[in-house]
Amino acid sequence: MENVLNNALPMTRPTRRASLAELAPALIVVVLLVIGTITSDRFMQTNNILNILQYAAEPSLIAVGMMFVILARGIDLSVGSVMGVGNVTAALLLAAGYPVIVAILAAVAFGAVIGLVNGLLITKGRMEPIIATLATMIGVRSIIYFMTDGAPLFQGIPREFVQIVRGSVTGLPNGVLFLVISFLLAYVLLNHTRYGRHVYAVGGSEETSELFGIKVTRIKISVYVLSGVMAAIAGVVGASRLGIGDPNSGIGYELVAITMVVVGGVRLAGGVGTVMGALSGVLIVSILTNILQLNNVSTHAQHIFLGGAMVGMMLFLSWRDAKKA
Amino acid sequence: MQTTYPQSTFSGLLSEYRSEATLILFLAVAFIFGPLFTEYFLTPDNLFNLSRQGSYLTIVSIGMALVLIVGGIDLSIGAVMQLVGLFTVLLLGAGASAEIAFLFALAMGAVLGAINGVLTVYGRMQPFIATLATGGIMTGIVMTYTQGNAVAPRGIDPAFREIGGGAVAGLPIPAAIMIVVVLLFWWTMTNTTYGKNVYALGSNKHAARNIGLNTELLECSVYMLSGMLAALAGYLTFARMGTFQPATAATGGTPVEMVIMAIAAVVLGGGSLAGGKGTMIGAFLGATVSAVMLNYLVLLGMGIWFQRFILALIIIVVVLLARKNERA
Amino acid sequence: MEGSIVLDSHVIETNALEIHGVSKSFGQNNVLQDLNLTLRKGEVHALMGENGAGKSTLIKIISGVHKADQGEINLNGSKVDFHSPYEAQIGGVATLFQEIQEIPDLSVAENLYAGMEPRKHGFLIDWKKLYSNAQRQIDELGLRIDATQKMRSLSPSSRKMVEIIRAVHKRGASVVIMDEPTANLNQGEIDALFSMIEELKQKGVSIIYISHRMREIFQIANRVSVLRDGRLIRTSNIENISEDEIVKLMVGRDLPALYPQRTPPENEVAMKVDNLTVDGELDSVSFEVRKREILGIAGLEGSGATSVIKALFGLRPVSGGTIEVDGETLVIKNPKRSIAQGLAYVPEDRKEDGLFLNKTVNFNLVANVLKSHFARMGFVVRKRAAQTTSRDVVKRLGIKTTGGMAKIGSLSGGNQQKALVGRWLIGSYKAILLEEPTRGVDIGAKVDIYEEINALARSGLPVVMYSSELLELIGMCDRVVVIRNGRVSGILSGDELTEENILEKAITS
Repeated sequence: MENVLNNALPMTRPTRRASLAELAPALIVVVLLVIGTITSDRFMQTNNILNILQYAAEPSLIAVGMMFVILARGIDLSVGSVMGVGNVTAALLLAAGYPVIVAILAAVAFGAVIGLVNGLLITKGRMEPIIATLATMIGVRSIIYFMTDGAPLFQGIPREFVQIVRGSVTGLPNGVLFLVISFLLAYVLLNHTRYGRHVYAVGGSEETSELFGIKVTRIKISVYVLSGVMAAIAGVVGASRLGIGDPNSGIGYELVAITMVVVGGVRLAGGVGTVMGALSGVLIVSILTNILQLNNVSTHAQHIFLGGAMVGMMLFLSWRDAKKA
Repeated sequence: MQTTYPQSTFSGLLSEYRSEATLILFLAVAFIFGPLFTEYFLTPDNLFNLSRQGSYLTIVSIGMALVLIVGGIDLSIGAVMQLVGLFTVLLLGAGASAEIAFLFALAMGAVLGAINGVLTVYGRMQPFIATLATGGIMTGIVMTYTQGNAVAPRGIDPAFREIGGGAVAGLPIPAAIMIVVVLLFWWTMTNTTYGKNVYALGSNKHAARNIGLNTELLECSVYMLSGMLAALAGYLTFARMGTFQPATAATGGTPVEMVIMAIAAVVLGGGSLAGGKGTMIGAFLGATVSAVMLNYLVLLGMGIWFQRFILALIIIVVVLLARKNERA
Repeated sequence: MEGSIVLDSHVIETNALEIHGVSKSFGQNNVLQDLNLTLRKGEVHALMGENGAGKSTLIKIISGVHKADQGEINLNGSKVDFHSPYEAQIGGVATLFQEIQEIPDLSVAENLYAGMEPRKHGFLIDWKKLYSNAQRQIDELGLRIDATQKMRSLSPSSRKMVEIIRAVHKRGASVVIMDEPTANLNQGEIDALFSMIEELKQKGVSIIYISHRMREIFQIANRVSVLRDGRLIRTSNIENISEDEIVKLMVGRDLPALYPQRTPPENEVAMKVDNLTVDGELDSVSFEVRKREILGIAGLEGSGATSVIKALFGLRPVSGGTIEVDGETLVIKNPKRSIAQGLAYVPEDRKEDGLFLNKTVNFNLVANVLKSHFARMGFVVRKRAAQTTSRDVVKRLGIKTTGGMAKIGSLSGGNQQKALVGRWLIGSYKAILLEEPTRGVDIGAKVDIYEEINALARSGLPVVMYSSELLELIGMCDRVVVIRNGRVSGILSGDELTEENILEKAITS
């Protein structure tokens, strides 16, 4: 049925034109900047802008990992708990007197292991990503509470560790630097390496990827490991920013990270989405959060808006897809 | 050629209902050997508590089973319990009777569930993302209103606490309600056109459409029922307390944990995330076994977080085993 | 006999592929039986046969999708046993299946070079080189495809061409299998494909070529093998065989014995389709169906023929036209509405669109009439009555099953198909719509299903039936509507109803 009229069509080079959906995230960023400026005098001040970026660091690190997972047609609901584990692992080791680098590496390694478990359960164990990562989400959170007895760690965290995020090497706060670096790396990986292109390929069609000789299982495991690593780093960043280890760190972040990625136009069914889009998603969510804060909306209420933003974006996307089809 | 009707040999039944049979066996073992490890297990007090504790989970598991049968998922049920619970307690605080509050809770659950259904079916969102988002919004509303604190209005209808804590014919009222719910849905799913159509939808959506079923409406209705059942469970949970208590990690469990327990219960009972499979009796047995295991861990002095950890392990093991069976 | 075991090394040199005594069955259905085939080095070997003759199964065994029950395959003189198309590709056998293998959201160049993208600085993809290499490859064939475009944005024919280029050039295949490669191509692309094939022949690559288009076979093939009912009937040099002979070999059985005695239709028109239009698929299709008439719909892949019945049943967005049944104009909106107005529908893909595979035979037979026939108070199912009725249907159609409670997925394809047709025997309808009513079933089941279709027509109903098997249409139908490029290109009846005439009307000139 496909080519009834095709034969008649001349095969000219289609003009390149960014579609509405590709532009939508950037447009929303602009609209939010305008709204922010109108609703609050403080919004456009340098301090506030830096604030937005700094607070964006933790969820956006997670969002970068989540983006890889979603591009490969998966989902990782355990990121919030992994962030918590990264957070308390680093804090506990620091409090016990280990060097900063050891604490960080241990935290990241913990995240990688959990990611590996997710990847293995999903590929070798053929579990649905939702179930596997929901289970690790709960399991890992309970590990956090074993480790800490549920109490925050206030003491024993050295200044040098705190300086990692709060300090400034470039003139910008380091937290902002993390955000920039992680997105740059993601950009290079996804657009300029075989690995990144194969992540897209696997998300597009596992069967065809297999035929093309792409190691599908390996790619799928790797994105969960990456996601685990990024979430653990986010936990370390959180510990550094606040100077405490918090067993509740990361709760609800899976929703925030998925919202960022999805609002940025990354397709949940895999294979489609750009780093620029995801960055826009991060900015949209962060700016929206900031505007809400400036207008004295409580943290919990912010979740209502975020959920609303996600539903809105998803509905927009499915409406557009339906129109195209 | 030879055709024989109906095939109802014992071995045939056993293979058809393998999950259910395994769970019954497990329960038998638990009740026989349980007392060896903790004497308190078989005491009337504990069984009374256990049946009440298990009833909340069973009720939401029935809803989850319905959603899983049609190939969907509902990650919002814990949040529905919370939001409905909060509004119910507020309504009671404003002087409403327990009965009015009960009807209100069901209606509110139906509306919340219908929203999930509409987003999934007509908005064409993936069910997990739609329900994750609505669940997030609902939890946000609860936390914004309560700031994480209990809501305990004075002078609410004493019947409310009676429903949550009282007994009828030796059974806790929530357990009695749970039994009614299980029987009602068991009968509906096996003996009515609605039940058959839901199974048809879950087995093959295209085929269901091609034999003339209104698949959209049917799918929506399932989410609505899931919402109603979650609301019922929420009502009963807070009726037991007489107050509203927001679920946070600090108070021993976020709303997501009810979701994962319900999924575990349904999968234990033979359901599948791939859709088309699962029975009401299976969900009931799965939830009961989960409740017994949790009860056990409590009696053995395990902390709440150890319980959670075991829960996560059980889910993984159960799903992996189920996968293995499918392959075989 | 050809393909007997060869020990002489000289002979091994000339045979690219040898298939020895390969058999394969799915359940009770013997799809291939003791099949032998030899592919010479540098030849184009056409594989001909009706649908269900075993061609697809054979190429799936060669390319590692299926495993043969018996027999062995030698590639360039050594025994091979591939477990996946990828393994086969590495081993030197590239296969082009009917469905396009692609990653739609990646560029043409990436689809061509996936897994072997050129790199610079060790790990960065050299995009410039990737695009220019890909573009050069495309340009050399005279195709107008932009290597930087996403696959998704190309026409189906361009996508197919990209796939062909990839499969043929990528791994240095020594055997290339093409399953209906030209189904979606226009003439310019077919020419490009044929010059590619010519080039491959020069290089000593051997090609197995499957197509229903006789012209093509005589244009490019060196030899032709005809398969029927899973057996090799004959292999011949193309010079020594005629089109007629091939068709005769393909059919090879008495038509009258297979198809039921038809009663002539009445003159009264029962169903009237006027200017049926579906954007991009169908353009002003009109025809009438009389009482007791079986009307066939024919057309090549991509002609729109498969959309006719779907559009009638409300599965395609109809943008224009009217459909009348018994003088009443139907509202075409969705299947529910269509069924309520008296249409019954058998979809072409029973697994995807028809059956509830993990449910019982009984469930499948009565699921569509539960509410109308077996409900007390409109919602309580009368289980006993439903069981009795479905037992009757099982008996009437001779469905082989261990019982009504057996899962329908465990039945053979033929019995599943009978059940799919059988569910419309309960209840009364005004018109019957059938798509590929005997797809992938054995001869015995075919005869039973034909008999049932005939009985439905005899009871006074108009039947519209789409089939890709021309002989089935000729054997069953009073008239056949041929669709080409979304339009009716001819309506054939009586003596005009021959394969040649249908094909002539169907082939795009």
